[in-house]
Amino acid sequence: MKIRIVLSIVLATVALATVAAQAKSKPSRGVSVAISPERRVLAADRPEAALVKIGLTGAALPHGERPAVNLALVLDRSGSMHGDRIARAREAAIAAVERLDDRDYVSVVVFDDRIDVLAGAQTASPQNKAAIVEKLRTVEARGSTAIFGGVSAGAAELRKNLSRNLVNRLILLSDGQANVGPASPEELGHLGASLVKESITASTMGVGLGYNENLMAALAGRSDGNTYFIENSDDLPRIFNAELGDAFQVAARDVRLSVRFDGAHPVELVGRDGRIEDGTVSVDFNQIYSTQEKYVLVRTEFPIGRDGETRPFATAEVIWTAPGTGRPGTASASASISFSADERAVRDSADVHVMVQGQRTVNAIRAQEALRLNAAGDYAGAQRKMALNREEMRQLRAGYAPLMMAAPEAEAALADEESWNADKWHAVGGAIAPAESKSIGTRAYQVEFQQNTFQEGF
Amino acid sequence: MTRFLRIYLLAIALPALLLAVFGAFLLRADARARAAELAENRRWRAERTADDLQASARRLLDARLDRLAALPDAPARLAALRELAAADPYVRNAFLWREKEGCVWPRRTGATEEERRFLNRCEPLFSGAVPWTPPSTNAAPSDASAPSRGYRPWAAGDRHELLAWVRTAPGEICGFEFETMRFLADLAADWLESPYSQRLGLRNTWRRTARQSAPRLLGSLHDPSGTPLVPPVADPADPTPFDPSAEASLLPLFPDWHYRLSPARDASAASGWLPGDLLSGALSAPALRLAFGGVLFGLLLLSLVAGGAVLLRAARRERLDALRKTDFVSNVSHELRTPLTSIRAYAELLAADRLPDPARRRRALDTISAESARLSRLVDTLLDFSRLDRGTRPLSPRPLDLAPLAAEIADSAPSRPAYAPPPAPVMALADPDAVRQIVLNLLDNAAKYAPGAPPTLELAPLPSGGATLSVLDRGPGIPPRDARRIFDRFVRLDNSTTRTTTGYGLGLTIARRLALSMNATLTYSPRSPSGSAFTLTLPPVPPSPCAPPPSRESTHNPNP
Repeated sequence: MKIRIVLSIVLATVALATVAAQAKSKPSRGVSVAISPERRVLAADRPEAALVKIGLTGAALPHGERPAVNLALVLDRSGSMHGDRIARAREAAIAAVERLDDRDYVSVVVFDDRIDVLAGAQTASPQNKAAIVEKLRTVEARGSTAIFGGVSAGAAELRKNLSRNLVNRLILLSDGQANVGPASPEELGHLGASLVKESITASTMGVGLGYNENLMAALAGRSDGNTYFIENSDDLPRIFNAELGDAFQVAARDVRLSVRFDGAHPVELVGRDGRIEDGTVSVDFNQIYSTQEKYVLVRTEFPIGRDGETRPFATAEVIWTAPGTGRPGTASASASISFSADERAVRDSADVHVMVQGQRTVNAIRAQEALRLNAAGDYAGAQRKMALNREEMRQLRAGYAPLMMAAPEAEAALADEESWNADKWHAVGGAIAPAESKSIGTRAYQVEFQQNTFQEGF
Repeated sequence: MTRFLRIYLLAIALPALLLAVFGAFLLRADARARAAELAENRRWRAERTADDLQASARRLLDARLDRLAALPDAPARLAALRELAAADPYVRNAFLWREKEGCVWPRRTGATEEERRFLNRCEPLFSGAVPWTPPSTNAAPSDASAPSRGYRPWAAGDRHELLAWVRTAPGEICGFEFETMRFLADLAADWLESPYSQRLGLRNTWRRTARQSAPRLLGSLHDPSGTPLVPPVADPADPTPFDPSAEASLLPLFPDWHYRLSPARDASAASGWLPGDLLSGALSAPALRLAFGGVLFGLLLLSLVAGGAVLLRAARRERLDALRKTDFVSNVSHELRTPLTSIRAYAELLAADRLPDPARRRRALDTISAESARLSRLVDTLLDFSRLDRGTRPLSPRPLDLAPLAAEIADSAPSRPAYAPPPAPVMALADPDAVRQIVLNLLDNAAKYAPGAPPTLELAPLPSGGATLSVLDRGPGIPPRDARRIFDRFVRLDNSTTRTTTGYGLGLTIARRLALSMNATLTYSPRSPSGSAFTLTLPPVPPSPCAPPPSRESTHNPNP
């Protein structure tokens, strides 16, 4: 008995060390990749399934260095923006333009039912910036909302200086339902998916309660951009700043990740969408931000392993383009998995970070489903989804309490997630207020796409 | 006179009016035909543009299909399809299909969410339930004759997606789903740069810059419900509906889209008072002919009316002249007969010795003498007039001082006019006899028509040289409507034989003619509150070196 325990501990230690050694990626300037299964040791002698996280982290940019950006601001000036919102939006846009310099290109499009290219694509030289700021000051609210046309015009401006060496970003700010041109989330999503193929990322900012969060999330999601829900227009300058900060932090562009699974079977992707073909998972990212982790979660089935067996199961390969220089870069990593008959060794090998991230992603997807059910009037169904989230989190906490204690970051993230779910539990139990719906939907999107949210730290 | 006018109106003006109405009617009918033609033209243009838009899409589709068709084997095609799906902004999904196997790529398991939706959308095609070529178009359903490529709008929900495919091997089809949203985004951006559709015949005409000439037509894309897909759109504040005749569908590629042409509505686009279509030379030839004919006819009518008016006026003048002459003759006869009657009566009385009283005889002789003098004055006047009329009376204007002359006239005139001599000599170029005759005539008239108070004679130098000699009275004046005629021949304002004043309407005519003969003018102006002022304006002495200085002239050579 004693021997078995000792043996299992030794085995587990060895396995951990192996995984740690093998999963460590080669040092690289642009992106580093790491493969982390939610448990490093799986139960022997039976089929096992586990969530595997492939994380991409952008290298820290040297101090004071940033990529040049090709920025298009697409601002809604429809009648509903009247008053404080248009004033804040003007302010935020002006501040954003002021942050750019000679390296960058900038264009400003304003739209209502008509589209005006306020400033065509041009370098952000001091004179140009002054002229643009002057024009921005004259923007007044009127008319209805042609989001599709506005984004089209903004993208056309970006295309004038489209370059692999630039961070091509479109920032859409709107507070209304699109009522001119294509207006469904699906159609805008298609547009976003097309833009991403040209290395254009569209980030969307919904202001107030009148806009369609699904549309904004679809456009941002399919083009790998960020989405924000801005209930109070006073937050606009801050969020513009954060978004621009993100653009300045791009460490790698046109990132293609492919993970080859040998000796394991990838079943499905959780959260971020990708393709699984012949045991290879491929996912594209338009960009990876400096010091920020983006990840892919793969639900993986493992064939039966013998007690004590350790075998490699996945190799990740990532290629990217460095913004600024346009040079290609690659990084790779591989991972092994061990099998043990000892239940404790299996449990103790858990990576609670991966587990919590996985749980948050699953929660986010369920929250979106809950919103859909709620919108359809199925309040009980919505609550069941949220209850399932709570139950799973309870089990997670109960099952891995000691490990949680040792990982304060994961613990904090889980606590945050729990309180958030508890908070929304009542919301989805009845007719939901637009503000709640937007905050749930936007947060779900942000979690699913690992957006660098400044409101909540993780 | 009025009858003549009436005949004239009936004979010319009425037919002209009728013709004008007829012309206007014709023009209106033509304008209507023109409007219909323009609408038809607009619809035609909309159709061509719709074709053009589809041609643009077809070029995008064909380029990709060509690339796929040229690939040698299935692995190469599969690689190309992967690349299309991953990197081509105009491609949403790509696929490889085989007759027996269905969709070979992408497979449902492991596919992305978008691909799964795509596979669901196109399930009937991939399962073989629906043929790739619509049954209506294929004549013989054999592999050899089946078209090797095609475009297939595919209904998905309430929208159509567009598939393009090419038969790369027997029983194998490569294709992709077109990213219509990207195409629409291109159109939207292009539209923004030039929203005005222009002449056709060039590629991509729907985005030619067209700001240079009228008419400007605004093209727009709409879904079947009329909701605009691509701005710019109508101003929501302007409820004017689009002209439905200028609409074309984008069949077969885009069943959901309609292209519409409507005249630009913004005020800056308006080209002036003519509709843009007329300015652009679109006026039809018959309309042009009609308009030209109308202008010619109008000119003819105008000249006819003008000529008629001139003739009428001349005839009227002649008639008036004749009337005046008749008047004149009767006046003259009357004037001549009055003194003759007196002379004859007194002469007969004297001859019959019927006047025994020497005083009465004396009075009769005086009367005869006075009447004879009056008769001879009358005859003189008549002679003067006829001489003036023929231009045979010689006048010799010379520099002279008018002050003594005016004083002499004032003294000799029977009406005893008031006269204040000027402090300095007043020099002018004049004939003293003519001046005397004119002024005496004016004074005589004043005495005749304003008998209440003696007239005033005024002599004043003009600042620019020359002088005016005016006869002013406080009589009833001349009615304004007659003031113009008083200098005409034979005009007497009161033509009745019962009038109280004598004369035959030649005095002022003679006066004016005399004035004109020495380059002077004679004008009339009414006085306030009543009365008349006749002013003789005499020209200044020309500054000639040989002419003696005016002051010497006035002092050393006074006029008789």
